[in-house]
Amino acid sequence: MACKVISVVNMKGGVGKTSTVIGLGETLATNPSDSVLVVDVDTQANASYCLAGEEIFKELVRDERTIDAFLHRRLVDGDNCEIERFIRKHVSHLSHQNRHLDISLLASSPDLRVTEREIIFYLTKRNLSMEAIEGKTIGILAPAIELFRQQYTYVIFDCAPGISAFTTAAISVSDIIIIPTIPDFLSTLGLAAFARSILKERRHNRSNSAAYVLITRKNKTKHHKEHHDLIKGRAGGPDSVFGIFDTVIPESAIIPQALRSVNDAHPTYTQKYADPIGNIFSGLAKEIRGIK
Amino acid sequence: MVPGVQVSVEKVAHRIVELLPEDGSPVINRVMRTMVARTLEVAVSPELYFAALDYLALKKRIGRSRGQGGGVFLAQEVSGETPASKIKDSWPEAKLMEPLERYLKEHFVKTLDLPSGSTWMIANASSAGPKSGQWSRPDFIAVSVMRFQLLPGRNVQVHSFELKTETGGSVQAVHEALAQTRFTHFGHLVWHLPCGSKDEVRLADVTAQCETHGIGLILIRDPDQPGTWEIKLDPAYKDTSAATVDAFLLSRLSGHQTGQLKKAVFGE
Repeated sequence: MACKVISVVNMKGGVGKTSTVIGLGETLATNPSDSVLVVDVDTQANASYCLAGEEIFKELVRDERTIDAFLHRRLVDGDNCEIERFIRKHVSHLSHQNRHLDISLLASSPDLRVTEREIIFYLTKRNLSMEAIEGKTIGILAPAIELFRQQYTYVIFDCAPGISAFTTAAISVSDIIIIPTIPDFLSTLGLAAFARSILKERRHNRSNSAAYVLITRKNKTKHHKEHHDLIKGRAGGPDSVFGIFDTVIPESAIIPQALRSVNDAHPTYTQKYADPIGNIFSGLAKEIRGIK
Repeated sequence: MVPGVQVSVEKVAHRIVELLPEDGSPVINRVMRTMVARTLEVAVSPELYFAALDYLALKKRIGRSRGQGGGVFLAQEVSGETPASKIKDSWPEAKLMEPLERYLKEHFVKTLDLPSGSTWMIANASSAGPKSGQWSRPDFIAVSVMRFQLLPGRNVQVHSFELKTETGGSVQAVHEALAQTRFTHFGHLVWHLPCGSKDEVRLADVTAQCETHGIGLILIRDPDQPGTWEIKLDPAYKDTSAATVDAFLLSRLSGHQTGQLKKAVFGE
């Protein structure tokens, strides 16, 4: 089965990117023949923490098995290290139908922001433009992704809010871009700007990625309904930059609960994702599997 | 080494011993296998895991517990304690049998809404019947013999009840209750689940499985207060053949109970 590389991105924070990455990743991994690699490029490292749990996360940061350590060594130290040794395999605490979910993690750490700045300072001192820095990052990530395509069924990037060099690199190597969006006025405004930047990246990197809006944190107000309709109207048209998923993630306290730290627990998938949240992520996973 | 894996039985066994609580508390096998896979960063197949358990059991390093797919604990020699005493349940299954029998007689039969002139009986079937066969011994059975105003004859319906302790309620328990409906018309899972129990985390899963398979679910909130017990789901009728039910009752009921039943059905 061909690997799908997915980036979960948005300009705005708090739209449910990390919830989507974790919920989708864990749901996709319930299929016995599928394996998932989560690549955390968000400096908040929330996906890393939630997937690995505190103990393993601390161990990864301590042992410098994180994406910032990898990029620093490759871009600043000039060390031609292999990316595989930075990947934490079998990191999930979940099992499903008596099978441990096959999820691996390339973790982020709170040092990623510092590393990103350090890399930019270092490379701009060597008279490289931002565009060249992005190019260098993509130059490192692209072959790594080709390697991952042989090993995993899904690679999912959890990107930081906004457009950074790392997010740009993630978008450029992805097949599918998921844009979690709250259906309100400000998010809809931000979505238009973000869609333009994706279009620019696509043209620049000749990427064939497909972008899809995922409506998140939708409540029952008229305001949310109107903006959901508005986004639906903009999606999927002949000139549209993005499509839209049928799956909608409602505003619900269950999602943060599902993401709570699980250091001492090893639940089954269905214990963690009790209905309705399990059905919602199953619906999203089905749509992702259906994208050609 | 087990073929297809990159880690030895000994290494898995060593990690199991490292991960087990020193006080002899048991860890269920599903959880232990996940913990081993996470810490060793390798896939641990059931074959490899159980080979490691067998290896440790041979060396008398571990003990095994039953229920929820089984569990493992450090043996006395290693922990210096008696693990079995740590696994005690304030309401073990044997202690729950008496309150359940009382509940079935005093409360459950009223929910059957039997027409007047009907009779019923509750029988402890936990130790009756053949010793062979898996999941073929319900803890209790309820037999109702209904008479109607116009229709001739009697209608006999048989319910089976599988009792589980607080830690024993699981999806597997639902399947156990389901398996027992090979011989009965209705299957029930009776689960001792006190309010606020940590085991409530499995309730959604268990309820969903009961619903899917048409198994009734009765929650024992306080064993001493049958009024607090909750019928969460009613069972669906299973069209079990009359010959199968007949043979089942003959093998599970005592001579006295069989006589009573015959009297109710045939007026003998």
